[in-house]
Amino acid sequence: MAEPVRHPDSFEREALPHLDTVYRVALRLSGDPSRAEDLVQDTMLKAFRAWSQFRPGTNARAWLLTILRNTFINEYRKQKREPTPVDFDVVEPYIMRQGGLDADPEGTFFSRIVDAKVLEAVDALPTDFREALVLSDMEGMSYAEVAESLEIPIGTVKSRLFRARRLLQARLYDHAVEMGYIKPREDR
Amino acid sequence: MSTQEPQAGDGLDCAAALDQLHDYLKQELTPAVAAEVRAHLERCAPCFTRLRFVERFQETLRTPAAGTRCPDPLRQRIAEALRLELGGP
Repeated sequence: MAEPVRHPDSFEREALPHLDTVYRVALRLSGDPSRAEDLVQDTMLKAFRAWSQFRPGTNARAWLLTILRNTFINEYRKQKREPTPVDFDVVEPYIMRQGGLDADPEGTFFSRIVDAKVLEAVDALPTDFREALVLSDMEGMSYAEVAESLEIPIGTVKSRLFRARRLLQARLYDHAVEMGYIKPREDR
Repeated sequence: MSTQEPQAGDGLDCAAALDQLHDYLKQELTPAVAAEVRAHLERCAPCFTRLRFVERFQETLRTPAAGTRCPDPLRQRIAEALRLELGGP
């Protein structure tokens, strides 16, 4: 062994408690459980090797998620076809034209949509939008922590979230119409 | 979405309030702006309805992953990999 790894105990104490979060985010990034497992293992090993670069007292969760995300982008993303980019000029007016908000203004249809459909719609988002949405709205992280994890400015986090949420609402709305959870108004 | 004209004493109009709903629910607003949004929601029924919409949307996103944990076999594989990394048994 070369130079011994510094403070393996502190890795166990500060990094390993975030393993569930890292796993959940890996699942949504990769869209596949077995790839997610490989991604998590690679991430934790890289983090362990780089642990001496982690500054104690800073955000270990964001640090791990940055490694996860870079590992995914560099090594895993190539292996899978990305979702087709979406034309927002087409998608955004659609929910309005359908009168989605008037047909179910309180969004009661959301609670009828099964989890698997929600995850499917999230997984279909373009990666840039998906990663911001997963960290902020699924994992409940603050915009500042999302920005730190993704290494982008807070303003960029907000604009990606804005578009991701609109897109997702439109997809879930369409699904709810298909399933008959919502009867869209005809007068639009 | 129907909107209302800003009223006297109401710091925000509907468009401005609607823009802030996600941030309001996530408690990402400064106390002053949050208070303005709250004041607007108290007097504007359409915007309050929209808040319920955003709340339901956010709930829908939080629930699917809530119970998901790193599987034990993976946890053990990682622990083993870290032990090997240290050159331990």
